[in-house]
Amino acid sequence: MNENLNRRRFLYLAGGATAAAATGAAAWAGLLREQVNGAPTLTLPGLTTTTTSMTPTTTTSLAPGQGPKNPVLVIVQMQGGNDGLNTLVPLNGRYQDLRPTLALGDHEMLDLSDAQDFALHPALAPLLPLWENNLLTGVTGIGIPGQGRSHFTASDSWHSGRTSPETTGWLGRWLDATANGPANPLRAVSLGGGAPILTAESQLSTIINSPRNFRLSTPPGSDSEAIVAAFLQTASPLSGDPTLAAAQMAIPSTLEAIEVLGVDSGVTADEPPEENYTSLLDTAAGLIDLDVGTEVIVVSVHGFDTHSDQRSRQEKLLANLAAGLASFHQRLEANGHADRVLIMTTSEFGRRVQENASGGTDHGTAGAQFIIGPNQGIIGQVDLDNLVDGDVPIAVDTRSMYATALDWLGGPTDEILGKKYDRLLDNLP
Amino acid sequence: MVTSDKIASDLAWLTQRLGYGLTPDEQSQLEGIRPATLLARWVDPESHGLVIPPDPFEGLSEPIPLSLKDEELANQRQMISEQYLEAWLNELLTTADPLLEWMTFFWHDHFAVTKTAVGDPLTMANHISLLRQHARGNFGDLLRAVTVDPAMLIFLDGSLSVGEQPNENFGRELMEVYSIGVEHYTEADVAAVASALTGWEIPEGDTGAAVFSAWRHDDTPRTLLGVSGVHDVETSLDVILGHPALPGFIAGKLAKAILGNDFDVNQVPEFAEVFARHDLEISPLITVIAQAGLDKTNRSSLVRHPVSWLINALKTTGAQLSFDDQSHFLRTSNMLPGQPPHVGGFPAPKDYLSASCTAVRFTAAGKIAHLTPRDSLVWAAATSGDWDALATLLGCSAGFSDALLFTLRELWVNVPIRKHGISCLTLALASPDLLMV
Repeated sequence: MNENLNRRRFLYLAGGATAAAATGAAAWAGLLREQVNGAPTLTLPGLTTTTTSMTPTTTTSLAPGQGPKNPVLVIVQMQGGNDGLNTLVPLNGRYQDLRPTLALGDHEMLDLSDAQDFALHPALAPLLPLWENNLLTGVTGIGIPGQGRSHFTASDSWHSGRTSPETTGWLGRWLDATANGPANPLRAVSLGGGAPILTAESQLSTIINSPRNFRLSTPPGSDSEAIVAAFLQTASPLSGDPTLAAAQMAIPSTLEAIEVLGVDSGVTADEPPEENYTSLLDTAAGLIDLDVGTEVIVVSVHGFDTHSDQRSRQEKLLANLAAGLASFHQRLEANGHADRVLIMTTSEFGRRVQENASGGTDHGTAGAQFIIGPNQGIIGQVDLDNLVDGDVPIAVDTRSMYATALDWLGGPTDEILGKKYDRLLDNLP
Repeated sequence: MVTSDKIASDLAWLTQRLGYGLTPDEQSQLEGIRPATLLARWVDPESHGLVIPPDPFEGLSEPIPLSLKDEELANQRQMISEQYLEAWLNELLTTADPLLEWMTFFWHDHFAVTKTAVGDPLTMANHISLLRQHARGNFGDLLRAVTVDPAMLIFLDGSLSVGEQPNENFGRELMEVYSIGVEHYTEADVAAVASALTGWEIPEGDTGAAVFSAWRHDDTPRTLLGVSGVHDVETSLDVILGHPALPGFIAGKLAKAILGNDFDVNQVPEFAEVFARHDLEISPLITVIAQAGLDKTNRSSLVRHPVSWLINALKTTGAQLSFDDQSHFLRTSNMLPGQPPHVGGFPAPKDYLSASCTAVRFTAAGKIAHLTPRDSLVWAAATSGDWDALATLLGCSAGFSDALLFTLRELWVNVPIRKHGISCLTLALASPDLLMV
């Protein structure tokens, strides 16, 4: 019953129909920017904000296929604390002693050629070709000293890159530090929910819970073009009330993101709403294909908090992670983007070495992560003979992984992290 | 002398911050009532001769037969779960006791139990009923009841936690999220409370009470938060409920929810003192916080979350949006009642400014405008271009912003007369103004 606004209609309603249709997203973005041109710049404590003083002359970077082939960082979050020990398995006898029921059997694990000391969880089989092609790095014993075992404090540390309270995320600070010219809300996109690592002082990012439901519909009997144009217009002039102003500023960036990403056809209400790594990374690949100046993509899936029934729960999650990453990488390669995309997994903590009686593990400290990019090997170590409070000791500081990511994006790395951390990969371009 | 503007603004603030808005009829019934009187009635309806509505879940469904398996069981669960959700949404919309529903939702966000983990819809519904039962009651009673509530025992693995290898999931969140905050306990306290809370299980197929099995329990006396001799639920909760950080932790969380951007951390000790002095009774705490809000002259706005936006839009317009459309809107906004996304509860208000939420709100606004009765006051205001009346009816007591007024006027001029109502009402409902509370 609802009329779905598709991309073409958007371009039409943006006015100057034919010219807009000819130049695609750039024209639409330009019109958006004209609409909000002249609005004051605001900095609002605690709210994601944007600079709205944009000019239509600088929208060329948004033209599909014409933008600079910038490096892209993709962060794949495993929310809830993935068990690193059963992900990148340390091959020493202690592992199976310490995990009497949860340990993977020797026959189950997947060997990594050239790596004598570690094996992969069997559900990660789709990642083996990346290892064989020198594109997969495992980082183990990774954490932030002092991060704690609480979901919230550990997440805060991983998001901010600091153990002291901090309102911005490490990538949010990078967005602020490298802001150049008009704000592009598609520069940083989060798929699958909120992304505190993108929280910035001044720069806006686009947060999409469910790409499949990301579209606009207008009611029958209404004037779609007029209503959407009017919706855009409610964004200016900006109110002096900072909360209202933040709600206003969300509108142009939403319309711009829908123009680029929004789906055309209706999704029925009975379609399962759950997104997973495969679906979210598919959207991420589409975004990179569009080449609209996206530099950072964050993909998040919950469910790794395996206090019970870990075997089957973790297996499903890792299988989906590996399938999603493998098909994502294949698509990047097919479309010629693989060389400019670095992928990293994160998770707020690893889990306790000792299993509990519920077939699960409780919150721990150091965990294991993967980097997909121009490198291969295992970094870090798992010292099961010298546990700290029952946890794997931290051997690699998470900020070293962040430093590597920030170098990939072009820095300024040490300024953003507040200190010079070792880099993990040495043969980055 | 209190001006009538201040009274109107206070009434609007109270009904929007401790409830989810008012129908035009309810608005007119408030004329002449003082804000303090309304607050007293809402906090303690019975002593003002008002009847507390029955639990909307009461008698709604029979337990699911144990014989059902797999697909049949899943279908049955899905169907019953939707019945409860529909009854809940209907209660939010029509309740005569708005604060009871608001506080029930506050505790739902606080404890964040999700039906995704619980599975059985009756167990989940009983959990919400328990929150409703204690919503304005005593926090100690609430926390003790929640600790051995089957839904919580499933959600945070308490029912799997046994003496020799306790599961820490609930013990940690009990202190960190539910009572005293992360800075007030140690890892040793987590281990101690986890051991003391072992032994509870849920008989298979029973949606009633959890039972205690001594053989699954570790009864060794331990030291929790500096107090020795803790060995079971009762002694653990005695220590936690007596901890000096608890009143401030709970008072601070409730104050943030009610006062939003006007929350002042310096007021927390005062709120906490009232809460502690009343033996953790929740009603006096609500009163002192709400009164602090009423005492302010220049209040700041707060982002209205999707449940509040939806219920306010439906109440003020009278639109009969289908249950499927309501639940679809809430699910895609990441705020489906009964399914908080993680143990921290629903997202913070500002997260609802995301691109996703902005898009689904726009679409829902159009559906609600389409279904708004053509003989309603809201429709009359939208078609005639009476923006002051429209703002008041929709719950914006101070009127619309300049940006919205300008846009509405222009839209009204630009669209044909027969499209005035649908276009202007859609725009007003979708606007940033309606997202402010």
